Amino acid sequence: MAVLEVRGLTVAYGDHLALNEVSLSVEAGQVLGLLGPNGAGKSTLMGSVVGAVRPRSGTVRVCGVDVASRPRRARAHVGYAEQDIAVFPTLTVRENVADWAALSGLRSRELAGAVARTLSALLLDDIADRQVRTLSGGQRRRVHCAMATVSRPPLLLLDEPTVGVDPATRRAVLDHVLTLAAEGAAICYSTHYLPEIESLDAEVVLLNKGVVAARGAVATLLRRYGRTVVDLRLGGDSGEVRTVSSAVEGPDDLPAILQGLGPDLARLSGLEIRRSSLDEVFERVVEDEEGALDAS
Amino acid sequence: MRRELSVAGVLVAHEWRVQRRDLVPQLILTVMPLVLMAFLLPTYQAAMAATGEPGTGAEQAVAGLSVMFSMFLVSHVGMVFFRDHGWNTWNRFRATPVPVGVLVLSKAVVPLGLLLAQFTVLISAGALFFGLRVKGSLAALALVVLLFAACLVALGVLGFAVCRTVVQMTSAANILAITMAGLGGALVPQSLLPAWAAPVAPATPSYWAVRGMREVVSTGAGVAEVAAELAALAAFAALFSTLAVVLLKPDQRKISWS
Repeated sequence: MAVLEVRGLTVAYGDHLALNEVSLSVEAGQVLGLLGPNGAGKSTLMGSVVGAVRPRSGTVRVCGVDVASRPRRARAHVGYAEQDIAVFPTLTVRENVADWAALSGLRSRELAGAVARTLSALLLDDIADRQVRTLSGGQRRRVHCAMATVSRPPLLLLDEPTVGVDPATRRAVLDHVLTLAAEGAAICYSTHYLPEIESLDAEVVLLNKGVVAARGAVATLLRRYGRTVVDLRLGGDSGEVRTVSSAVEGPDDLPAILQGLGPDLARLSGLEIRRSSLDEVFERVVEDEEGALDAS
Repeated sequence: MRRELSVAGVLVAHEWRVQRRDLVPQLILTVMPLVLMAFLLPTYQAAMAATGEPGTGAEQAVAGLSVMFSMFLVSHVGMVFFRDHGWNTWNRFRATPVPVGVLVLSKAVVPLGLLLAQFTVLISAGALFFGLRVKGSLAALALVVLLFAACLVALGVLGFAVCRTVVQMTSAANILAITMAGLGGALVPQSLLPAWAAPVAPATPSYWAVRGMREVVSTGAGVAEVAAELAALAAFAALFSTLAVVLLKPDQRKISWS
């Protein structure tokens, strides 16, 4: 049984369809990467899972519990770190995390163990007894994430959990997510940093304008939507190097591309043939989808 | 039920942890009436003598000023909830399985406790420094204070329910506090209120609170003697609570300081 099952979910704000017939599921131990441009519907989808957003139609089930008819029971299975940081600035890091652990039913030694483990995983040990108001934005973001994960719920909704954090702490957050998934949590992870999705080896659902534009494993998406790209490095008069990238169908296209450089061909200092990155796949799918939507 | 009680315990402890970091507003609202008591005691004594009421003036000073300054805590009660909107933690609470009723009641327990503490300090200080003698039953006095504090907490939650912004709530609460204090006889003895105010005064909980406290302190009343005051305060508390329950939309976005 899927931990999270969304079927035909449609959410509207007035006339605007924020989500249109979205279906997806997340199994235990799986990380689902939710991708999409701003306003694609990622946060609305997560809000629907905790019952904060009322759908026009469709169903959301968490651990088999229907969110619409039994929202509180469904929420008991969810840890949610929404996009906006939600912490208690006058409490210490430890108090924030411990209070949330207690609220989810953990007590005494079990609570202390869960808090210690989570603080350590998110590199918060050293600042555990500082008031949150004295912390940087990135540190607050980690506290926010720790509160959602401390009780190890079956389903985790992490909405852009690495915004504003430095590379080292981003790595810590990603490692924490991978650990939780290895322990059996189903994780819905929204981000704009596509390399994170590759590091998490996540299944991807790409949302655009409220509809699922593409889905699948990263490798599958790269295979399906990726193209061969030629990067041409051109040297300038003052020693600077610029790179021109062109998508090609195959090696036969190469002469035409080189010819297209014209007089710049003399400046060619290097050439690399590679597959599209996930960023490029993302841009391509969004462009194609918008073209299709505009055409319709 | 046991689970709800356990969650409520966690929430009360959490709310206390948050509030104890900044008790300055409560301190100010406790010290200020003490300062005013010292200043106004002779005036109240003269006013009471002019109307033929026996006493040192402390009866009116302590009852009136403690009621008036407790009413300024109404905005503090509303702030408990607006603060969660400012910190985005209201949504965080709403994404948990905690029922909204348990959440609101638990968070309201701490300001209720602070109100009771404020009354206790003011009445004790009145006895120690201003010659207040409680002639009647302490239980009756405690019941009047408890029910009035419950009214104020319910009024604070109602303020949170009906106001969209924190500025609306604090402005309304402060105006309401001064109006109710004036009409209820907290500023001047009820016998000195203008004739037009007499029929309006019973429509305020402060009137019943001051009257109940004065009855216990000055005339030696017990619980039975202040039954009408207790009933009126209970009715106000029930009315404000019912309105708060009906009008509170838990998922309505409020505008706090951010």
